[in-house]
Formats: sequence, C-alpha cells, structure tokens
Amino acid sequence: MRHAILVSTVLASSALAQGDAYAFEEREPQTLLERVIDQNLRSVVKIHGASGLSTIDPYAAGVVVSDQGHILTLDLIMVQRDKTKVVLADGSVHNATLLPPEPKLGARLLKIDPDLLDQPLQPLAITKEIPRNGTFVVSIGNCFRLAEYSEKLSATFGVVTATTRTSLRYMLRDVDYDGDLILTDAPNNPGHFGGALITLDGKWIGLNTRIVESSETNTQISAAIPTRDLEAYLARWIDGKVVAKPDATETKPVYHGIELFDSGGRRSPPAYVERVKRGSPAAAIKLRPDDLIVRLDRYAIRSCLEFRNAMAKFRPGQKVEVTFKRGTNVRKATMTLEEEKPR
Amino acid sequence: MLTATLLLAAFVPQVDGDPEADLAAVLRAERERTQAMARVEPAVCSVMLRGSPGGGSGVIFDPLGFVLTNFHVVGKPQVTEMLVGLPDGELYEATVLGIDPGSDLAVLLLNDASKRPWPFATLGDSDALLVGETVFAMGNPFLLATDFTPTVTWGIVSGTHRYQPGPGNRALVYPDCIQVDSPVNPGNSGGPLFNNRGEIVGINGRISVRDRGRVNTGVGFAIASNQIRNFLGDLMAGRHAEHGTLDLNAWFMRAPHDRSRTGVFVQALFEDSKVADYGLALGDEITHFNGIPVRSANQLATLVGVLPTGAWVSLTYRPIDDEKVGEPHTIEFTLPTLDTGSSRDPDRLADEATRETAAQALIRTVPATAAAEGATVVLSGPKDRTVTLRRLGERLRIDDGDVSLVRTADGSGFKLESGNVAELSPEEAAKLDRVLRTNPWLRRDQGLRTILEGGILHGGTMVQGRAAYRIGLPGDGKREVFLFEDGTPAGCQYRDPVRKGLVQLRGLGQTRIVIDGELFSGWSIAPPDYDAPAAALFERPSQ
Repeated sequence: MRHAILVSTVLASSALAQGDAYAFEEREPQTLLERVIDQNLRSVVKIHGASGLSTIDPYAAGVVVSDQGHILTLDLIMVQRDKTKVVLADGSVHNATLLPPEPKLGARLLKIDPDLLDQPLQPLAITKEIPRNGTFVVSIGNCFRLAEYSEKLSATFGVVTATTRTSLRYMLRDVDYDGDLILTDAPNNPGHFGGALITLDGKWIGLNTRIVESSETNTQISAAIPTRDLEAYLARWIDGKVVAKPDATETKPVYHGIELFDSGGRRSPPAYVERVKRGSPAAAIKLRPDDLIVRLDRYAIRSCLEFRNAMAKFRPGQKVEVTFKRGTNVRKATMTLEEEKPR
Repeated sequence: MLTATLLLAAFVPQVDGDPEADLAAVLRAERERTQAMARVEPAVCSVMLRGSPGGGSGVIFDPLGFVLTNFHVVGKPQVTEMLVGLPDGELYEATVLGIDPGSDLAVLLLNDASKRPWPFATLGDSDALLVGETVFAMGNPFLLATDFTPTVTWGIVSGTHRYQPGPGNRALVYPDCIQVDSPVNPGNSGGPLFNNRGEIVGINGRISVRDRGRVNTGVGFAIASNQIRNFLGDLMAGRHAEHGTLDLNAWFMRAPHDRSRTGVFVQALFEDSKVADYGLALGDEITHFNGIPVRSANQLATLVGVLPTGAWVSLTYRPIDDEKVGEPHTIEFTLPTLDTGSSRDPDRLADEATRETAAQALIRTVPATAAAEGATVVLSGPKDRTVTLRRLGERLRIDDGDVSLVRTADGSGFKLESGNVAELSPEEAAKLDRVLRTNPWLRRDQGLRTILEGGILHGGTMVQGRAAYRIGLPGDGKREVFLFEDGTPAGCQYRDPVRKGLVQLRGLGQTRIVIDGELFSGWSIAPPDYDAPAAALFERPSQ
C-alpha cells in the first residue's frame, strides 16, 4: 500500500527571477526563418490574467514595446488589476500594472518595473509598412499555454493572405472593429493572441488578435492588428515617443561564442563561462567552461550583466583583450570578434 | 552539412540577393524537398484493424519490415494482427510486436518475408531540430487515400521538448514531443514526421483543438525520434515497454529560505519509493538530473519521461528542512517502473523467430571490417584491483588478482597458472570459455559481427545514458551482448563460473559492474588494446 504525502504551497508571484538559459541544449539557427524566430522570441512574453470566464481566456502573449517595461497585448483577455503577471523569456515572473486600454483596437498596455529586471528588455519597433499579400510571416505566441516559465513560446509560419476590413464574428457575436486587419494562414490559437506577427526581414507588422470568423462565409482565419495603427496609442503612453529599433545596418551585433553561467536572481552573478561554441572567436583563444571573465579591454567585468553591456560596445572585426581567471591563474588573450550571422 | 545549410537558407527568398541566384536556390530547395518526399513515400503506410472502420498511419523503418505506429492505432494490448496498406496499393498482414501504452507507440512486423527488402525510411536526430526548421508529415488523414498513397503536409517546428500529459492514468503521455504547424488530422496518427532530409524525426500522434472538433488547428504533436530509440529494443522484441518514474511530484516555485530565488522542489513523494529510501524528502530542491541542471518542473518530467524502467540515473538534490538548506547530495539508482494501469504485461515477448529477425536488423550496424588478432581489456577496481582479459586468436587468459587462468592451446579447457583456487571442472571451464565469446570488447568488428549472427533480441536497455539493445548469443541465449545503435559494443552479460554470479559489464570508462543485481562501484574499463598480446603469455605453465 502506498502512501502519498502532500504539502501545499503558494505559487510564485511578483518579480521573481529564474536562470536565463533555456533548459535544453540546441544547435545554432541556420536559416533566415530559424534566425528571425530566434531573434524575436525574447521580445514576446507570456501573460497570465485572473481566472477566466468561459468565453475569455485567462492567458495570452504580449509584445515588449519599450525598454521601460511596456508590454502590449490584447485587451480581450482577462486582465485584472494586481492579478496580471508577465513572464519574460528568462522565466522571471513580474507583476504588471495596467495602463488605460485602446478600446477601438482592443489593445492594452501593461507595465512591469524595469528596476527589477536582470537583463535589458529587447523591445520591438512598429513598422508603418503594410505587407503585400503573399509575404512570408512568422507568428509568435503561446498557443494553448504550451510554454511555461523559461520554456520557448510557439512559432507558426504562413503567408499574408489579405489586409482588409471585413465583417467579423467571435463566438457567434458580431465584432465591432472597423480597422484594417492583416489576415494570414499562420495558425493562431487561444494563447497566441497578443503575440507578434513578424516578416522574415524582421519587421514587426502585427499584433495577433483573436481568431475570428467571417460572418459571411463562416470561415475561421488568423488575424493581426497592423502595428501601424497602434502607433498613436503607444506614443501616448510611452514617454511621449515610441522606441525605435535601430536599423540592422547601423549596428551589427557581434559574435563571440561565449555562454555565461547566468543563474539569474536579483543580482547578476560573476561572469563564469558555461559553454564555448565550437569554431567561435572564444574557442580560438581556448577559453574553457568555468573560466571567470574579469576584464574586456578596459572594462572591468564583475557580473554577467556587465559582460553583456561591455560587449555591446564592440563591433565585428574588433580585437578585444580578454582577461580571465582559470583556477588561481590570471590569463590574457586577444579575441577577434566576428559578425553575428546565420550559422 | 554545408549543402543542408545552403538548402535551408535558400528556403526563404533573399530580399537583397541576386534574383536569378535566389530563384535557382529556391528551385533547388524545392527539388531536394520533393525528392526527399518521393524517396520516403513508399515506406509510409496506412494501418488498420480488420473489421474496424477507422485507421491510422505508420512508417517502415527497417527493410526487414518493422513498422512504427501509435499504440492508440492498435487500440488494445490484446490485438495481435493488423492490416498495413502500402502506397503500392496492396494490403499486407502484420503482427503486433511491442507496445508502449505509456507514451503511445507500437511496433509491427510485416508478415510476408518474400517481400523483403521493404522500402524504408531511417530514424533521424530529433534533438537537432530547432524552432523554425521546416518539416513534413505524411500519412492518411481521414483515410482519404483508398489506394494508400500518403498525404503530405508541410510546416515548421513550432516548439521542441513539449511535455504533454496523457488523458488519464499515466497512459498516452507525450513527455518530449515536437510541436508542429503542419496540418495533422485524424488518420495521421502513427504516421511519420520527416525533416528536410527525409529522416523520421517523430511519430505524429495528437493535436490540440478548440471549438471545432477533432481537426487540425495548426498545433500537432509528434513523439520525438530520440525518445523512440530508448524503447526500440523492447518494442522490437515484442515487449510491453515500461517507463521509469521518480515516484514524486516537483514544482517550480520560490525557495523557502530565500524568496528571491526559485527552483524545483519536491512537493509530493511516496514514502516507500526508491528516492525516499535514498534520503530524498519532501521540500528538497532538485538541482540536477543525470548531470543536467533542472530549470523547470516540465523539464524534469521530460527528462524522466523518455527513460525506460531500469535506466541508471543520477539525481542531485539539496536537502531543505525548517531551519536550513543542506549541501548538495548526488544519488545514483535505477529508475523504478511507472505503473500505467491494469493492462501491464511484463512477460510479453515475441516468438523466437521474430526476435531473431529483429536481431538481424539491429546488428546490421556493426561495422564489418577485419577482426583484430589479439586484444587486451583491463578492468580497474577499487584498492588497485585489476582484472585483465587477453585474447590471442581463439585463446584466452584471465588475470584476476593473484589468480591466472590460461586456456590451453588445444582449446580443451583452462589451466591454473598461479594462485590457489580449486581446479575448474570441465563444465566451469566451458562456461569461462564463453566469456571470451561474450565480451564484445575482446572482439573487434568482423569478429563481433560473427558471434552475433543467429542471436536473438532480448530487449532494450540504457548504457551510459544511451539506448542499447540486448542481443542474446546463439546457444543458451542467456549470454547477452549490449549493442549501441551505431553498432559499437555497450557491454555484456554472462554467468561467471569463478564468481558464481550473473555479471553485467555496462559501458566503457566508468563502467558499471552488476553482479546478481548488486552494483560494484568504482570500476572502470579502459578502451581495449587491439595489439596482439605476446604469445608467451599463453604458453602452458612448465610443470
């Protein structure tokens, strides 16, 4: 006879941070499609609201739209003051405050406290472009709440089928929405709503909205609100201006091949190397797991956060003197940074 | 690899490239894709139960006619015969071999041996999949094709390593599945998910649906090929594959003594479970499983869920009580069996002829190169104890501490060279002789292949975290060679006449030696030395 012993606990709440790494080892992205998804996964968040009513889901996705902690999502999910939580890609859970909604578009901004973040946010910038029909798109969200904490969100793929105004229904009720909608065949399901629709050249073109039915043909279709139409709302609430994403041609991200052991927490831990990518600049100077990086050129490195901030100041092709501690020895080596590119 | 990279990169139009080169790249990618589809199509089957209106799909993964499908396509453990429709338009009879109701797999064998070699597709590496990678599913959705020509649907990997609980009682759990947006519908069940190269990376088995009934919504789940590998030995041997369990529930939550930290903590535990015996208690924090840092409760469920019962695992935990957080402990043990319900049948096994066929399929990967003339294997144990096994041609020498046994040149038996054990009886000498033929590290390549010919598959096992097959050698069948999927030796099992026990050697390096179920720790086996030992070592002692 088996005896189960149980204890009950309260689940995590408010600004609690978890290790930043995804739990499973993965290869590097190789295609444009894999790269676009990889680069944008960190800009989409999981949102958990209060317990839902039968027709309103208590969970959704959201898009990071400022480095000050603004998250854009649909207002059609069950958000409730003091009960809405935002889970970032690193698995950290944050309490969100609600900003006034945009009733015409059914969108709403949430805000999390940027001082509690361990890593800088990666906001997406809106685009004024409306994609041509047939443009390949990726839709990122949390369909059926399949991903929890640091687990990766879901990505689906399709083409823009139309950008149009149409008469719509949701759950047999007519929907009063008179703006343009981007319609796609990229699967969109409960939980995916509030996520990002992105073109393969990395432009954030739409905010996934609920699956709607055409009241004329009964067909269900994936739809997204063009980000163009959200500009005025975002501009009103984000310090008077929308954060613009730097043009990809201006600042090329560097590739060094170092993965740090970043266990998260309120304070960023010392910059211990967890993994060195094969064939990377770091591998060329024979950096090894468990080495402690203490200096990059003239920047003293006391934490993983300082490492990332210092690294952001370098450009591809630049030489960086890396000072690191291995056991009790301090060593120096010069690493030539490469350009981040499909691998 | 480079070709594959170019192909994948070319799948999408390059906005700033040379248009003609881009078009050529896209067309090339399309050609490669359609060629891969055409190549694997003959191996994709419709799987049906006689007299039942429904049906599913499957895929032949070996030219001898072994078929993978879902357990829920077979339906019940008692079902022994299925009908398999192939794209050649013919309907064939197949025998149900192993089943895995715990995670929804079954293996069938096509009965008609005259049709060998059957068209087949090979298993790929599901851990190499990345979100955004393009994949295609094949099968017979809604049983559309009455001539069994499969339907192809194409899409991307939407998520990897998803844990999907079963509908109840621990059956049909998908512990490590691939989420895809390629359309998957009723009838696709049991059919293959292929990567761009046409390798089987998953078996499609379930979908998430909402308000429109059981049809595709762009959220399908496939059982990962690397999970399937862990159970393939048992499934091909006709066994009822059984999963391992930790017998506990763990949650991702705040640390009790440090509210700023989170982790995975034991929240429910069987008092009489193995881990409780080893000292794990309620509230303890699980930090590593098999050396992998545990970062979420789902991840732990995934890591454990893909392992069969009996797999050696290590668990690192920090004891936590009301006062303090203890130092990390690591415990090592074999996973106990997850009870999936009343239909469990541990004695289920296919007939010997079938298991001989299965062994033939599995030893095909043993590299066929020239055998080495001689070999030396050194086992090092605690307190500087060493056991040396040497082979020269068909002669064998065993040095175990101060005891040395040398097989006589005419092969009639063993002679004691030194030490003071009693003279071996002829029967014991003959048994010892079999050690020579059982230890796969003493035999390289062609030699190993030869001793495995005519063996029968006993089932599967895990050695050093990798799936291995247990192949019983011809004769009494009790001596087993463990073989990794790539054909390299993983260990062996034999009855040792000196030690009088059932001995298992598992893995190179930090090996596990298990004698009559008891683990002898601290042993290692160095990689074998295939230079011929000196003939003088084998000469009969002068008397």
